[in-house]
Amino acid sequence: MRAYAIKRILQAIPILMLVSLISFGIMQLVPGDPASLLAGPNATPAELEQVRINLGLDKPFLTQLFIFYGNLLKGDLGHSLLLGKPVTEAVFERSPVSISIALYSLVLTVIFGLAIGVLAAIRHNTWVDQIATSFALIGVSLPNFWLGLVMIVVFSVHLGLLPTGGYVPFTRDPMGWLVAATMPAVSLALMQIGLLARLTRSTMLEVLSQDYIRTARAKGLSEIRVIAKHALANVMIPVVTVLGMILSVLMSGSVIVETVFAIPGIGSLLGNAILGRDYPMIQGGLLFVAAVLLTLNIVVDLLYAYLDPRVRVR
Amino acid sequence: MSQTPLLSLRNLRTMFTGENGEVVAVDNVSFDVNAGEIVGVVGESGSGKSVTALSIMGLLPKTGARISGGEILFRGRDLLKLSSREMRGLRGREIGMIFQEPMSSLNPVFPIGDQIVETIIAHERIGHRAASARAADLLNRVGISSPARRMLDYPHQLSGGMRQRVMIAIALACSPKLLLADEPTTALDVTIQAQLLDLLRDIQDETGMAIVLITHNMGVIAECADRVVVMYAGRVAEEAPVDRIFDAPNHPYTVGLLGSTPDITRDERRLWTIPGSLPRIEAPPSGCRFAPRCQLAIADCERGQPQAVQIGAAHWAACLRTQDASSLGRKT
Ligand SMILES: Nc1ncnc2c1ncn2[C@@H]1O[C@H](COP(=O)(O)OP(=O)(O)OP(=O)(O)O)[C@@H](O)[C@H]1O
Ligand SMILES: [Mg+2]
Repeated sequence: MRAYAIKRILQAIPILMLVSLISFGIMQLVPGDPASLLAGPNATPAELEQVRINLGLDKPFLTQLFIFYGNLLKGDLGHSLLLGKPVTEAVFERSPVSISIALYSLVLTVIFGLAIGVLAAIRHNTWVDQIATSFALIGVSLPNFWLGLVMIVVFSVHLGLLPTGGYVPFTRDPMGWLVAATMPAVSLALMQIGLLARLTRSTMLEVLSQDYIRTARAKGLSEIRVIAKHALANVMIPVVTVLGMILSVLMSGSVIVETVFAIPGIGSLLGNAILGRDYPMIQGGLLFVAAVLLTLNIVVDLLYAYLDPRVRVR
Repeated sequence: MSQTPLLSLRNLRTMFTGENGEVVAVDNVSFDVNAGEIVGVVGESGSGKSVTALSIMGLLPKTGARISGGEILFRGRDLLKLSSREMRGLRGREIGMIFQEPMSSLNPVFPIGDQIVETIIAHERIGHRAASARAADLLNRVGISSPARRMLDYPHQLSGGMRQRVMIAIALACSPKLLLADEPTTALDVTIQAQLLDLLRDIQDETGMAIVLITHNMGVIAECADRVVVMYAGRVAEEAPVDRIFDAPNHPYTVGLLGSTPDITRDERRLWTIPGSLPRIEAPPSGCRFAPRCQLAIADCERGQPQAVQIGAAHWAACLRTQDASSLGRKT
């Protein structure tokens, strides 16, 4: 298991190199001269030259690449043009916001997705199954920004139960965080709940028809034990593999949801950076998001190996 | 044999709901199993052997299957009248079952030791350590060496034969009175088959439990069974002590089955196979179900289901032409 973990982490290094190369490439591939874009239309040639020197664009390509990796190793992602502070600082300010909301929606997704899927499968072909399946279908079909807007109208405007937007850090006020994060997390999670419920249902149905389930019953185990131990342990294997994907979607979906709910997260940071052509910010932000996703995927793979002994041995 | 049988099937009838209404998979099946004996159940694929065993265990599919008649008396109690809770207490404790598919019958994600231990814990007030010790003993008993270490293995680390040994250990975990073995060796190669049958016989000798040994291999029957039930298309064709089945079969189907088994002792090259195939259960023949394939069939055979005729001590055959069948049996 440990060897597997080390192998998986080592495998991540070339991927991270590749991603950083791509994010470096962004700067090189910007149509036209990035310096003139950054300096604005009214810049004098001298000012333009200054911007170029600041960005290191006057140096040869390979030198630039070398400097870029050197800074990366030092944890220096450059300076944001719009915010006037180091990219890393901005990223570390904003990331807890997005990550906490993404994790909140992940928790919602796992709890409700699994519960609905399992329930539908063990009550296969009954009204429980039909309700669960229809709910999952609705969840899958609703776009999250629309859902967010509807929830604002219902829960904030009409019922006045929850704030229309904004964010309270968990570390400052956990209850306040819960109140502020619930609608964004729910609107992010609903589609994933639908997807996970469908996957769980079909996997569970398949698992329940396996010979080892018949064996578990033949041993005289209680039905709860048969489902919760023998079946669920096998259902979790494919579920965990899609968790990585679900997390990526939750992270990227946060761009829209953060806009709808006016939440200062990574999503809105990157969105603004793109609109304002804040290239160092875009570069650094992408790199950061990629690193987070990669880490999560490694965690998921390890979890997968933990759950499935057949993978562990390889 | 005046004692009451351990297990007694009385006119068991099991149906499945298919696309075109209900089909009868097990029809009017009756036979007894006495304590300490090995009863072989033979019949070709689809004859209802597994469905019979699953009916006894109460493990038929929850939807689409139903026992529509008969009784399953186990130690005098009708299992069909027990609550699901009572049935659960019986399964794995008083009746153990092993299946045909050793490769898929164990849960791939749990160590085998755990799968034995949980069976013991489900039925007995016993500590985890004591249950583990018993599981190791059981593994040892079924011929798995260094059991303490093997208990940590996952199913995929074991061969098919080893897995079936583990299945036997699970079935034996609570010393059941009755073991239902549904083709326990069919999926394994011949040498392993012989070893496992020896093991089952040894254990049966030691513990005195009864075994229902389901198979479609007459060789296995010859080697292990005390009595034989021959099933055809969901019905019992013939029931007899094992030597009578081989020496004096009285049902043309039994004769055919014996003829299609290569017999080394008699040095026969010719392999007589029964022409045709099992009738579809959606459209069974109105009379004797074997009639369409039977070389002795007469007009009366198609008129109604033949009643079981007693031929000798503990020997019955459901055939109108037992006389001719027995002479047919002697010829081959
Ligand atoms: N779950 C089910 N749904 C519908 N029909 C079934 C089901 N299980 C078994 N049957 C039918 O019941 C009949 C008896 O099947 P059974 O499995 O008992 O045969 P078998 O004698 O055990 O054969 P084999 O030697 O292949 O194991 C078959 O015609 C089969 O199609
Ligand atoms: Mg079968």
